[in-house]
Amino acid sequence: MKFIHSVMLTVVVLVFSTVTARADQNHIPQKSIVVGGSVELTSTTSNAQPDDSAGKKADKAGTPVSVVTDKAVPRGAVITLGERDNKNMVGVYMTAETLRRMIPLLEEDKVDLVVLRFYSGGGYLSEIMPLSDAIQEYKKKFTTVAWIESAISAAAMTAHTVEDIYFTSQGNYGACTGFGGSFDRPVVGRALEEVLAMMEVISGRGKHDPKIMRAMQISSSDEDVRTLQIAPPTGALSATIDENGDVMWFQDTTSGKHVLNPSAGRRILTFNSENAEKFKFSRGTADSLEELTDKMGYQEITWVGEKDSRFLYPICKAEKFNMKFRANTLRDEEHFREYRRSFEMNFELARGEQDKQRRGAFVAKCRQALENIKRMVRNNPNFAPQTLGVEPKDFPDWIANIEKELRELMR
Amino acid sequence: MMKSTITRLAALAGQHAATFAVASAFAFTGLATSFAGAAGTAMPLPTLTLSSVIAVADEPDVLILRDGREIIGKVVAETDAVVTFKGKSKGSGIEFTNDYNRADILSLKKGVSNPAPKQNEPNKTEPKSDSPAAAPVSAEPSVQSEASSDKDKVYIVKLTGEFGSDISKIPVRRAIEEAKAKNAETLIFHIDNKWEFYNARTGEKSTSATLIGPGINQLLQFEDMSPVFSDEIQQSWKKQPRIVFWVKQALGGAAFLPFMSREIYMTSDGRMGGIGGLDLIMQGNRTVVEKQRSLRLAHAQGWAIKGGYDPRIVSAMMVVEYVLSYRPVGDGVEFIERMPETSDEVNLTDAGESDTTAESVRGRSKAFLTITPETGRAIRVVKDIADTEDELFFKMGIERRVEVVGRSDQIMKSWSSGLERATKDLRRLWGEEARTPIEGNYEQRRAARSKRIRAIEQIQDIFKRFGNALNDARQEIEIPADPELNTIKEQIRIAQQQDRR
Repeated sequence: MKFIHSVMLTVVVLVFSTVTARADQNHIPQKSIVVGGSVELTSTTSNAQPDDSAGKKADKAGTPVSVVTDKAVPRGAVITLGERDNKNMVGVYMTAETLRRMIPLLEEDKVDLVVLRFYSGGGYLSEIMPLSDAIQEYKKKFTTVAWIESAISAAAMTAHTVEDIYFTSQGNYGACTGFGGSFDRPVVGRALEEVLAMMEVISGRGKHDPKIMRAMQISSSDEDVRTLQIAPPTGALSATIDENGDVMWFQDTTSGKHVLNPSAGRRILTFNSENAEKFKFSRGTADSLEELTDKMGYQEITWVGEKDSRFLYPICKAEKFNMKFRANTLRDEEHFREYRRSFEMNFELARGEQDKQRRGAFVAKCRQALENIKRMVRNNPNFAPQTLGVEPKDFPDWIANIEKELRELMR
Repeated sequence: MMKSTITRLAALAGQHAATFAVASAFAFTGLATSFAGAAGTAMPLPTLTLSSVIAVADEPDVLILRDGREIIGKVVAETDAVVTFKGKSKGSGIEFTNDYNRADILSLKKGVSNPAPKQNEPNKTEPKSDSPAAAPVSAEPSVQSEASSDKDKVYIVKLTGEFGSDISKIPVRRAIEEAKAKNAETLIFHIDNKWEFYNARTGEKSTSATLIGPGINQLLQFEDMSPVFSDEIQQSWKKQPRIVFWVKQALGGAAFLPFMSREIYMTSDGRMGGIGGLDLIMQGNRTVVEKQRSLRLAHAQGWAIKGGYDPRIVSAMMVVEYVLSYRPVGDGVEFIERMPETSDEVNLTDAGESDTTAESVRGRSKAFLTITPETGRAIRVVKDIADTEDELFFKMGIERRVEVVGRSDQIMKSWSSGLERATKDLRRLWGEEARTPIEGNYEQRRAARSKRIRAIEQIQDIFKRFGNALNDARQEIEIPADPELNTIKEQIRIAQQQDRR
């Protein structure tokens, strides 16, 4: 049974898992909450354009895009946010820290355009805003687009920071309801209002109508929403495409010509590539880099990195670093309990051992386990709060205290 | 009315869920009758290099299709849209009658006394004087050898057994790699997955496609193996092969596989589905459960879109509440999300409104869609019906130049027998690991601990080799996940450290 749960992790546990761990206080950690801010609550889908870039041709949606032909061919890089084989949880395998660590590597590669390719079933709520902040930094440095293979829950909430979103044909995006641990523990009341407000801010950053995200977060049913203890409206969503091709969104099922939520018997919105494109949430559907280049309106992009037949895109330095980060994270996730158990048991044995030489052997084992834990947190600082309950900033002190205790044991 | 039906179905789902909760502990095992050996298994086809159709009358009609196929036989019926034509497969001798859309027909010549042979093709109606009339095929070798350079190398992968274990990414990847090495131009995946469940209490067997629960959860297993059929081929094959799915039984997670290709053929008893009842599974807060259902539906819809199919087909296959009808329009169909309102509209799913228990247990529920050959053709999901390989080749238009290459049967069989051995080994090792007593003198205790660690390491090796295909075995034998096994090993090591002579 346990195994089923771990297999389901990619899609099911994706949810705001931390809400359980941290929601004992029933509130979202302060640093993750941004309430208010300057949010553009437009009712029309933005036709936001990417930064002026070289080699651009006419926009597919019909909006003219400046064509700059005298610049060199732009350099693009693909960064994956999550991958198969259980390496896709937001906050564990997709972290703000890693995104920031990659910036110098992208700059070293003289990259103009970054494609963030999402494959994630969601994860920690607490990481959404830090990730969004990091993506904001990317947007200042690079033309940044999202390419969605799968962005569910926290992953969609992260991708929402990006204006220009493309899908693969099997892509999906949405289902952003937060819950803690089990299906009968939704995020409710004030905590939920805070998440809704946070997503209004992030919708503003990505210039997406906030009604869309609300439809992904809460049900279209009045009755369901009452159980969530929040104020109306529900997550019902309809849209009308006007004669100019602009999309107007409505938070009900009656004002728009097309009802997106509820739809096909479902009451939470998850886009597929077809409806995302039809309603201009997605700027296009692409299954290869060539198609993506074309859909983005470029004639040519130099994709940096090494070609690898296992991937649809070259692996740039930053992506190589990213993949290594995830591989190390997986190793540490699989062995953390072993590190901890080893430390705890050897520590106890050392404390009870009178013979100094034998005690030394136990202490050496403790140090070995501690080194593993230090390396684990160096690679992924989020492990400190997630596995040890220690904030990253307090981790050096935490280690220093333990090392002190080990030294005392050897006296 | 609808609500009451849904309530009834929900109750039924609850019943199934309860059953499967128990059954999953022991009964999802392979007691099924294998379909291997039934229609669709390998038949020798070396003589199918020339026209596979012979005349059924003295003055046959000749139907030439836009894909190049020429069929000699007799027109049975005609409408503005369709020509019903009776021909005979030369390879198997099986007579067949098919409907051909007018749009697919290049020309139809009626009462041709001596249909003109194609270049390099002898006249089938007049056997050569030096060939026995009864065996026109025997006159063909010279032509066959001339045509051999023009052969279409076909690689057939038979996907039989349990989806997720027998049918899993490692053996399929091996087969596809072999197909590539053999320069196959066409890959045919013949699906006939095992689908039967046992009621833990009564021992009653069910093979119904309308079972609720087990199929939907296999979506994740399907997604795990999906890159093998799509991205990996796209990436590693210079010339993209033609990919065809030939379905006898694709139920549960296997139902998503055919959507990976635009070309789906079915056997006449084929069925594709077993993924219904998404809106009846899972319990908890309604919004949280809705989220789970919504994301699963979007995942599934994505695969239909990728294959070029309307995502509403998948919604109809999965969601009871969803009503879908269609209307033929030209060569295609138009889907309508409501009950039919005019005589040309046909209902596919009606939220179970019209279901009777009798229909439901026979898999004819309209609560959700199970694709049969008839429905599949009507909604343009299934291209055609074929019960044998040569019939399939004919329908695919490659019967004249087919050459079946490779040994995928061997690959798949050896994988399945490897799985069986691995499961036995796991049972033995886990038992051995658990049973080995830590007793005796220091050396004996040390040896016993080493044995336990070795057993765990061997178990981990087996899981590494077989990947997710052993998930069910892991559950059944109750072997913990890898992190826990690592912890157990560490505990044994520490206990050894602590031990004294």
